[in-house]
Amino acid sequence: MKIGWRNLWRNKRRTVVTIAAITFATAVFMFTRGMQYGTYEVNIREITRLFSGPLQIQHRDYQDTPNLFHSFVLSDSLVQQVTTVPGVRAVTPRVYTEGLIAFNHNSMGVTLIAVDPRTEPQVTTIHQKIKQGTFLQPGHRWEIVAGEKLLKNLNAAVGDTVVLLTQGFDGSMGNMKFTIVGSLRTGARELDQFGVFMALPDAWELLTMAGRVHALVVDVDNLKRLYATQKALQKRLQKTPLVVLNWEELLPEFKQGMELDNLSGLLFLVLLVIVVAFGILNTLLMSITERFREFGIMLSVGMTNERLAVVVFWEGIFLMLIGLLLGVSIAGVVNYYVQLHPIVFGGELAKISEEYGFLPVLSNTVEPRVWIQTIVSIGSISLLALVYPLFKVLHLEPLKGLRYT
Amino acid sequence: MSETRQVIIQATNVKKTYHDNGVPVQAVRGISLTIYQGDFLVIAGPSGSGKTTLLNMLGALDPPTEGEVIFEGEPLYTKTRKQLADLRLEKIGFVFQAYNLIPVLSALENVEFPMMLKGIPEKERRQRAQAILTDLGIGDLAHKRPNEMSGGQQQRVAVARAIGNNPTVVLADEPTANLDSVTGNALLDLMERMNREKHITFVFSSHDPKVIQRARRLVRLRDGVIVEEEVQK
Ligand SMILES: Nc1ncnc2c1ncn2[C@@H]1O[C@H](COP(=O)(O)OP(=O)(O)OP(=O)(O)O)[C@@H](O)[C@H]1O
Ligand SMILES: [Mg+2]
Repeated sequence: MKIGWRNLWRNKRRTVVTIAAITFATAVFMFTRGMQYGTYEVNIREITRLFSGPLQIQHRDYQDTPNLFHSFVLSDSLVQQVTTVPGVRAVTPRVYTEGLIAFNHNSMGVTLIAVDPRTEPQVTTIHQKIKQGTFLQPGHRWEIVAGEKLLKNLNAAVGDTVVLLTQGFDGSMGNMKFTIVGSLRTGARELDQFGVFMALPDAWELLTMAGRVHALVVDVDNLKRLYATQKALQKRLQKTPLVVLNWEELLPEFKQGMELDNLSGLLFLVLLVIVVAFGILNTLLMSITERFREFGIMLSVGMTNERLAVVVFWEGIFLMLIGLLLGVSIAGVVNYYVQLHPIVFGGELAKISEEYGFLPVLSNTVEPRVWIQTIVSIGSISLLALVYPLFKVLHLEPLKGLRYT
Repeated sequence: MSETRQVIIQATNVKKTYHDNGVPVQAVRGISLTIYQGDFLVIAGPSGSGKTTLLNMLGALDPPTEGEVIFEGEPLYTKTRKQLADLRLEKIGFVFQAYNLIPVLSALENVEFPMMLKGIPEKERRQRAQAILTDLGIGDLAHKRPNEMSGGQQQRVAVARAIGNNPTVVLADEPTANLDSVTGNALLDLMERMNREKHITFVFSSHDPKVIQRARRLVRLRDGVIVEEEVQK
């Protein structure tokens, strides 16, 4: 071990290069992995907070066949049942349907979203995305908030009166006049271009479905315990036709986008790890070949190959440990800093990321799984890179070593 | 030579053929040689005559292509690699022409190295190694690294290492070849003294006439065979 240790410092340049390679790989691995997880977390948090919520309670058929009938009665006892499940922070009810908006000679298909103006802000951040005017106020009637793109396409503005047309629960066509009190800019196209928000009582009248809703949006105390909360809720609701869906089920495309990104990130890391493995292998091999003569002396004075291999093994372990330690230290600091100060970007990049339904922001994390994945991947690949050099040492003959020049 | 002297190594008709890029090279073409306890034997011969090859075969480093080497009554090359390594550790000391020492270790640590392999406790081996270095007149170099020592000093450390485990025989391949004649003579004096005082058997190769004339037993090689064998003193 002592010889191994000293050997490391013999060829300082090579040792430094090897350690630097391992450090670099470790840091890049951990930073990249952390950035993915951290950014997903921010996206999940922000995107679910914007509109979908982390969980929604719906009629079990609504997700597949969204119509007015796949709704349920919003009772105080139901709300009571839901809010008393541990992990549930707040709930807010919603009605969704399709309709037509008309202003002057323009009309457009829209998504009508009826909310409770009192509880909606406790669960989502829609009310913070008002561009002009105000959000829906509790008690106010016949007011709407609409996406700013929609208003632009309609040539309408805050303060204008529009007509909303839709088919009711009983099959009749309903139409009502509404005043636009606010415009929305959320960054999500479905909302900015097609979204119309109104208060629940107005929707119930327009749709002739008093007291019925499509969803209870549920916010949780801790996203990390999302699945547990979902399970607990589902258990509480097991005797009803209601199901509890999480954001992954509510926003399958967003989820897929993240999975795709994760996959490409992993691919990059696999390539990185392979390149690093060859780098380590190369320096280790060089350091061994360079010392064939020295090893030859050791073997000829009676050292066994096994013992020599142990020395070389420790050398590799030292290099790996130092590199890993430096790498995770650096990445730990950087990751933590980025987590505290997420990188917000603009321009083309921002457009691209919005195109994919992501926020134009990069965050990071120092979660345990990032450390673990980094240490396990880089550690095992370094060990793997040790195998061939060790094999060579195990089969080195004393004379080969001595004769080597 | 006395009849009672014990046989250490006995080589019988050993041959060695190397393959140099497919071309067979007969380095040793049939040598029989007996090494006795207490020998101070020089294997002489021009470059390429097979001196190194013979020494390696005698020293458990290189199996002959043909023939047999018996070491203290046991055939050498039926042993496993591990057994050969242990035998080298216990019974044989090596001194090579150059680059004998492990560069990262000090003189003292180099001498200690085989003792460490043998499992001698640190304190004891440190004392023993220091004693040997002092005996060989280089006690003050104990903590120098090989690259801080002259060639002659390095060869003395190599001899110290070779005799450190009280080997049965020390095999030295042209130990003085890289030394000037004064330093080379001093090294020979040293080996002679070790042979006389400690009864360590020395077998070394050389093509230097000044070295050869100091042999008590001489074997001359040419083209891989013994051409002359004499007892000088
Ligand atoms: N590993 C090897 N592969 C091929 N040929 C070898 C090898 N070792 C030695 N030889 C050849 O065998 C012959 C004898 O070599 P050897 O080294 O034993 O001679 P030597 O007497 O020690 O010479 P020198 O005085 O130059 O050291 C030479 O022709 C040499 O080229
Ligand atoms: Mg030679």
